[in-house]
Parts: sequence; structure tokens; C-alpha cells
Amino acid sequence: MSNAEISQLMVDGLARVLADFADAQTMDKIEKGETGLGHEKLIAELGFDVAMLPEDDGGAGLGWKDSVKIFELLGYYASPTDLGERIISQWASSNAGIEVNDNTPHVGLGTVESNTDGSVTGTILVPWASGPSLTLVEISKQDTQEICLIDTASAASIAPADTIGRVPSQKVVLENCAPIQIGTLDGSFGLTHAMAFLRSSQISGAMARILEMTIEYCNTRTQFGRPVGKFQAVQQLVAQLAGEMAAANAAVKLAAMGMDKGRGPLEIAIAKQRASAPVALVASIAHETHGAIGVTEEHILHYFTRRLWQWREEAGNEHFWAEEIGRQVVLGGGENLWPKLIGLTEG
Amino acid sequence: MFQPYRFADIEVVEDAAALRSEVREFLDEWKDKWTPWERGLGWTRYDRKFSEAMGAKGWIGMCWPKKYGGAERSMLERHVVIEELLAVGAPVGAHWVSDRQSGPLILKAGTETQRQKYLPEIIRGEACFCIGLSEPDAGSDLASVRTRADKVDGGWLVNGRKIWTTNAHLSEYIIALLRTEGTAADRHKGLSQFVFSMRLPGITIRQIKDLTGTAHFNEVTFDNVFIDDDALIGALGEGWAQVTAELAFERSGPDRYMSSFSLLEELVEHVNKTGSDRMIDRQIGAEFAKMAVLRQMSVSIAGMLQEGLLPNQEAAVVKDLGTDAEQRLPEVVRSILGQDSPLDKSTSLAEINAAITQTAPTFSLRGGTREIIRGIMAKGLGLR
Repeated sequence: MSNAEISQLMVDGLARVLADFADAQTMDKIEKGETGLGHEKLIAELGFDVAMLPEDDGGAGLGWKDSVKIFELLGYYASPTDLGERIISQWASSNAGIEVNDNTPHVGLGTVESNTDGSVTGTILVPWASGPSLTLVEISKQDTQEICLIDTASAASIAPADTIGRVPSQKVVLENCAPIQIGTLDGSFGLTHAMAFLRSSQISGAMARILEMTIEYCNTRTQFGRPVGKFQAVQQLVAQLAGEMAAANAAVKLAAMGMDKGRGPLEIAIAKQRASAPVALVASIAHETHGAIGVTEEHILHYFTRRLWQWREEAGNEHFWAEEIGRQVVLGGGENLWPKLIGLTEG
Repeated sequence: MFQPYRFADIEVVEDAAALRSEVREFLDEWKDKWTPWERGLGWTRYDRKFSEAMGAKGWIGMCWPKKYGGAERSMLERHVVIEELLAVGAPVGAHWVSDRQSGPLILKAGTETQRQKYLPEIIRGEACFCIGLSEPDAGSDLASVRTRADKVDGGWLVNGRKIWTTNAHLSEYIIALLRTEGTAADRHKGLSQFVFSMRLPGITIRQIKDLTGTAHFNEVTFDNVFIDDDALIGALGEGWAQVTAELAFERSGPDRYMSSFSLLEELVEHVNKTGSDRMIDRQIGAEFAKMAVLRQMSVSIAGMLQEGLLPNQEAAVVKDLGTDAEQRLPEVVRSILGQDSPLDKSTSLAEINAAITQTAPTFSLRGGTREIIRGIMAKGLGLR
């Protein structure tokens, strides 16, 4: 079986599980941190954490292009689980030679500074952590991609974070915290980039779901004696939403192909920039077309739009990455602009 | 998972690098001759000598069968060539329409005689085609075409008027959508396509200057123009379906997002020389990201065409996003230059920005207005 076929089978299996936990009531419980809903166990049984590990290490040997489908699917179901983070965590640990055994660490968003004594200092957000936990975090370095494994129990402070996304998360302040292990990622990009790629893919998937819901609503909601989707003003909005979703989707594919070919940092920056930038427009069109019902607590739309607002900020928002891209582009000057663009697919 | 579009993953074209450097070498001999203003005018700019040189290289009709003089190369290789042309603002107007849509239409719907007659000439860069679609009373509402072709012995008599016909005054041929049955009230029914010479008696061409003072489009009047029976292209009465397919070709290329590329290049060069800051980097980075993703989609569409798919919806997406990006770029330039935006042509950046600022409104008109395109997208998405 090819990797594409394997990932398709995995996606089908995951979709069957996620579909049962996709209603507003269940998502509300998940956001309130309720456990024992059953989905965690079912997802764990699928054994997808190690999807990107080499087959010799018990993984499925998936590349980034294969994993996009899983990440997008998670976004499509508003990610009721930290499976995406777990896949990245296993990939990073294995790649950097950090021993984690069966215990998949959480992944911290943000970077920490390395002190002269080897300890680390910084503030991170740990999604899906309900308290102190083993966490992987990127160490800010110029030329290498270092990561470390820390126990957030030894943090200077740790407290639940009240975020727009409402996924149970911990805000952790580390002061001279001694890492349990340190490793270096082999490749062209670090942990923040990998998380940026995950978030871009989730945004792409969530936008597909938002588009689907919007089309469905426009075809069924009747005003002035006809479905609102019959109105050209509404059609123009929905078309815009669709275009931005398609762009986010293409951006993620562009990045994935580059990452599989040993490129990456610039492609990932483009993906996260291009997926995050239209979140404002996509969310506003979705809410505009849904009318007041779409902003009620019982409606499912806000689980997706709140995720979008959260994910666009995490692992670098569109402004952060645009600045990074622009710096490189300006440095190259006019004559290198076109070769740089071509190099994204033919480098 | 819901996914209405089929943008396929396209891997690198084999030999793309070799072909690309060959095209760049060729363009190196030409590109210094073009002023920033000319580069800014993009693919409507006509230079027969350039097109003939392109033809000699085998880069016009390069995907068509060898028996007509084509090179049977892939759509992805063609994409390499045309994006290199657009990146330097080459004057491709003398062959652009022929290569992009008239030739493919003749190849698909034409008779063997028509193929033998037109395709080799196009491939040599000697046949400029214009498109007879819009009329004074049929713009976005293309189905209300009135210009008629009435059956007479041995052929047809054409009467009526076409308008906004780009480069009609320089074209050897036209492919026109004409009413062969009924009236404008019959809409899509009774329309047929014809290919014929622009030098026939009874054709009057009036050039229309645009707001830059250049005249690239025209009003074409047909007064009892006699065309032979073999001018009919495709099936009688099937004009609408054929035009729809033709427009998919027209909308699918990198010309739908690269009109302002030269401007971005000049901007980056300017900022590189004068110094950047974080906010400038952000603006340029965002434009680069947009362009990178549009290119990814455009390459993907070329791959779909290669596989024989008709990516109408995907092409509409690229046209909508692409024209939006290329239209906004002059405003990005102004925002970065601040009050130093020159209003004259004293620098190459100012000159090219003047050209793009004034031509930008047409970017979302040609090939179907933004609103029509979004309507097509909405319909494709199943909004009923």
C-alpha cells in the first residue's frame, strides 16, 4: 500500500470516530474539560500518534503531504482532541532523539531562551493540558532547531488559560527551568514551524466545514419567499469565502510538498500567513450569512469560528510570518523575486 | 471531508529547469528593450517580431500535435514558458489569444481543414486572433448576442457589431459568437461560432482609446460580410457550450494573477535600495505569500488540463483571487512610498505604477467580471 492509501484509510477511520463527537453539546463538554466522553479512548485505540514515525519504529511512515489529510480532518471537526499535537510531538521527539516511551508529551506554543547553565526561561501556552505535564518546547536558537522536554510542574507558575478557542490549556511561565532532555531536530525547520503547519492545515479544514455549513444554511433558510442563497449579494459573499478556503488549502499543500522535499521554512511561513490572513473575512462572512442564530451558544458555528480566531494566532500569526517572508524577499532584491517564487516548487 | 475543488498536488515538471533557463536566455536578448510602462501593460502589448521569434523557438501551440507543427509538450511545460514571459512583461499580444484559446478551440471543435489552415500559422507566430464575444448590448450578459449569421447559398452573411475586441485592428482572424437562429430573446439557443479573416469586405474596425490613451480594443462592424460554409466552427447551434469551454481556458492561466508582477519586482528593488522596516516587510511578505499560493493553484490547473479535466471552477477561483491581488498592488506601493509616491514617470517604479494603476480596473473585467465569476462560483458550490 502506498502512503497515500494508508493515510486515506487512516482518515476514513478517524472520520468515523470524530463524526460521533461533532455536536455542539459534546464540544461544549470538551471545552469545559470534561473527560470520559469516550472519544479520547477511541482515538487512542487508532494508534495514530506515531503516524509520522518510521515504520521500523512502529509508525506508519507518513510524510507531511500524507499527514495534511489527517490535520485538515481534525480542523473539519473543530479538533475535539489533541491528536494533531500528539502526532507532531511524536515526530519531533523521535526526530530529535528525545526518549518519550509511550508517554506522548504535550507541545508548548512559543519559544524559550536557553540560559548559560542549560536551564530555560520563557512563557508558553500548552494546549490540551489540564495541569502540569511533560511538554516539548522549542529553544530559541539562530542556526539550529533545538527542542527540550520539560516538566511544567517545575514551572515558576502554571495556570489554566482562558482563550478564545476555549480548548483546555495551561499558561506556563518557566524561570531557569532545567530541561529533562534536550535534542536537535534534523531538517530545515523547527517545532514552531511544525506547529504552524499543523495550525494552517486545521484552519484549512475548518474553513471547508464552515463553507459547507454556510452553503447548507443558504440553501435552506428562506426569507422574502426564497432561500437566501438565491440572492446575488449572498452568493458573492459565499464565493469569496470559498476562494479563501481554496487558497488556504493550496497554501498547505504547497508547504507539505516543500517539507517532504527537504525545504520548508519559507513554505511553512507562506502557509501559515495565507491560512491565517483570511480568517477575519471567512468568519465574518460565515456569521453574516448565518444571521443571529450563528452567534448563539447552541449553534455549532462558533466552535469553528472561535477555533479559527485562536489558530490564526498560534505558532505565529499572519503578521509575524508576513514580516519573516518580507524580510527575506526584500533582502534578495528585485532580481531574486521571481527565482525565489519558482524555488518554492522547483528548488 | 467537504472539498468542492480539485486542485491536484502537482510535483515538479521534469526538465522544468532546463526549459526555464532556455526561456530566460531567450528573454534576456529582448527584455532590456522594454520600458517600465510597456512592461506594465502586460500581455495585451503587441509585437509581431517577438511572436515570430517565439514561434521559431516552438513555444506557441507547444502542446499541440506534431502534425500541425506543434511540439506535443505538456501543459505544465507550457505553464513554465508563459509564466516566464509574464514575469518579464513580454509583449505577447500578437499570439496570446491564438495560443491560449483560439488554437485550443480549433483543435477541439474545428474540422481537419480548419486545423490544417490555422494551427501551423498560429504556431509560427504569424496569426493573431481576436475574440468576437461582447457586443454593445451583450457584455456580462453574453447570451443576448444579436450579431447574426444568416444562411445564404454557399455560406453565411454576417451583420452586426462586436465591441471591446482586443487587438482586432492587428488581427488576421476572428472567432465570433453569432446568432444563427432566433433572436436575443432566445438566449443560449441558436448561437454558433465562426472563424474567418478580419480582412473580408464589409468589416469596419474602429479603434477605441482607453483611459491611458492607448488603443488596444476596438469596435468591429459587420455589414453583409460573406463567409464560407467552412467558417462554422464546431456544431451549428452549439456556440454557447463551446464558448463556455473556451472561457475556461481563458480564465485558467497565470495571466490572471501576474499582471502586476513587474510592479512587485520594482517595489522590492526599491525597498531593497532605500531601506525597509517591519511594516514594509509585512506588506511585501503578504503579497509574496498571495502570489506563491496563486502560482501553486495555477500550476495545479495546468496539471488538470494536462489530465484532460475541465477545471472551470478552479479557474474561476484563481481569477477571482488573482485579479484581486494584482489590482491591490498599486495601493500597497502607495502605502509603502507614503507621500513620496511620484505622480509622474520619473522613476521606473513610478512609471510602472502609473501603468498598472490605470489598467487595473480592467483586470477584473476581462474574461468575465468579478461579479459574474463569483456567480459562477456560487452556482458551482450548489447555491440554488
